[in-house]
Amino acid sequence: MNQFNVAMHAEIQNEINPFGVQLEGPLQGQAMVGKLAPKIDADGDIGRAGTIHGGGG
Amino acid sequence: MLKADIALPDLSHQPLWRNESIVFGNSRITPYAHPSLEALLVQTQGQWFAMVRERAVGHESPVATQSVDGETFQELYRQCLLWPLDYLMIEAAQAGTRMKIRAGVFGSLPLYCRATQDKVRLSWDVTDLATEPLAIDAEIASHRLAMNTVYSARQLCVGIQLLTERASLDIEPGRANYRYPAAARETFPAPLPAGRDALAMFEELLQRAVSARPAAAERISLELSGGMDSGSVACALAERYGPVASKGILLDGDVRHPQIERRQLIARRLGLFDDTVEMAAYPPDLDLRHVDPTRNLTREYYLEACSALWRKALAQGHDMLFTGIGGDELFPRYLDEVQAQQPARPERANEVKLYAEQLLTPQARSAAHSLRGFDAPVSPVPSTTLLAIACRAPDLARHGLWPVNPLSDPHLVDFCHRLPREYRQGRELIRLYLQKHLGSDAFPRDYTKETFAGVLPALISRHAPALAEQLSDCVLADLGLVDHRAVLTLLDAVATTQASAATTAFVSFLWLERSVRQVH
Repeated sequence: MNQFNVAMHAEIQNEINPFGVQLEGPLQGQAMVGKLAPKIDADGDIGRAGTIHGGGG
Repeated sequence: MLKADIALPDLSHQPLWRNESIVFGNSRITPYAHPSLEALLVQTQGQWFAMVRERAVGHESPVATQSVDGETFQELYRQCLLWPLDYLMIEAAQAGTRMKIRAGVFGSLPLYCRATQDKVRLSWDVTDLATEPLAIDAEIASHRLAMNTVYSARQLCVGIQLLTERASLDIEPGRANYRYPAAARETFPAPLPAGRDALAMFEELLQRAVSARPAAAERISLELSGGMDSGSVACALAERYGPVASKGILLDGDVRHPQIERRQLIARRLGLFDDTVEMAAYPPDLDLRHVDPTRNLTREYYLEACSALWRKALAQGHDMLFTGIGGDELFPRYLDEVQAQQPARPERANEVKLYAEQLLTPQARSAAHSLRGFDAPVSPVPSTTLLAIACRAPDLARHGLWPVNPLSDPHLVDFCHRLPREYRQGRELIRLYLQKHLGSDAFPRDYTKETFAGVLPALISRHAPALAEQLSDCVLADLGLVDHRAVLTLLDAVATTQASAATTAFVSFLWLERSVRQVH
């Protein structure tokens, strides 16, 4: 506990962001790049009866 | 602090103020209209943000709509995030129709969110979001039944999330991403700065907390139970604003006389305009048959009496309600301090939990014993305080009262949690503060604390036959969470013994049963 035994009270008043509000910038103005899952409705090289996963089962 | 119905495609429209709402397309954001709050809209090319926040002393009222360049937008955005009091912010990027919602630190009137494919509904009133049958989250319900404290985005109803303090929710068509903030820094006891006096520092911080918002005596009512917490808020308010109005719920039984005497002493010495309501005149409604769909899902147990008190405040033209909430959490004990003491005897809380767990099915018990990985991180305002605030705030808002909880102020919490042990033990510092302002006779060390503990045992005992009949159908039993026979056995035990621990466990179940009936 001793390593924490330092006077911290004085700093409370002076900090700009005392409670750790995340200060990332606003949302970016440009549109995000959209990506569709490939082959989801198409037959692939591997049979996938009953599942959308390549490995079957 | 706001309500909103947003269709994501509408985010591509330019927002504007219309009839006290921010409107874009068919969507709208409506700030909670109250003199303690202000709202602003800041726009730049392709982006905007709206903010509803508590008015703060020393800050000019903002321009309602500002159209600015990108650099100014960034600067205003940053300033708003660091607003010294509570806030909610909604921002939008018009390209891609994306939005983000962010909450401040205080949790004064928290926001509930429900997002579907391309629609978002937000409200401080969770019942606004419960407009269709909702699934009950069995894990949350099990923890609630076991009386575990849960402060998390996840709520009783699946699909409804609470925006916890400092959390954010990013939404774009087809996707929502909830983000908790970083945990608040841990606090440890530390020596006071050289030459500083703990009492003077406490006074300064409490005074700052009661003075942070524009206010005047004629706007303020104080909930004065007669205990140390509300008593200390009364002292700080009287110092800042002079005589203010105080109100309290008078209890019956052994605690009544000491409560009346102490409240009168406080009112006399501070010059308060005191008023009371009788607990016996406003007993809690136990009837499960007529579930009110507009009731908050986490209700104050003594809402009827509190409402009577709040109506008095409103009738006097007051719109700010100061409370002592947060005082219980101001002076924690640290682990090494607890271990240094004698082995703890079985505490009442453990007894209550035992009664509560007796109701659970094995499945619910298993869920309640599982460690949660979804709780909000450690917060600057303790989570139990935030839960207490969230439980009452929507009902206060319905009454038109803005809650101010000075003992929940994060600066004051931070200071008190770091105090050397001698100031925290036995709540010594608040005792010193009260001695200074009220005299040493107001709170002797063995004073009789006012408590609601006598209210519900007798009431449940009187209504036991009716309750047993109403519980012949039990939704929580139908959901597989409680054992129906165990519920009726506990009801019988409460009716027979009127024991405090058994009553507490039963009432916790009963209130949850009512909430589930309301939405299921």
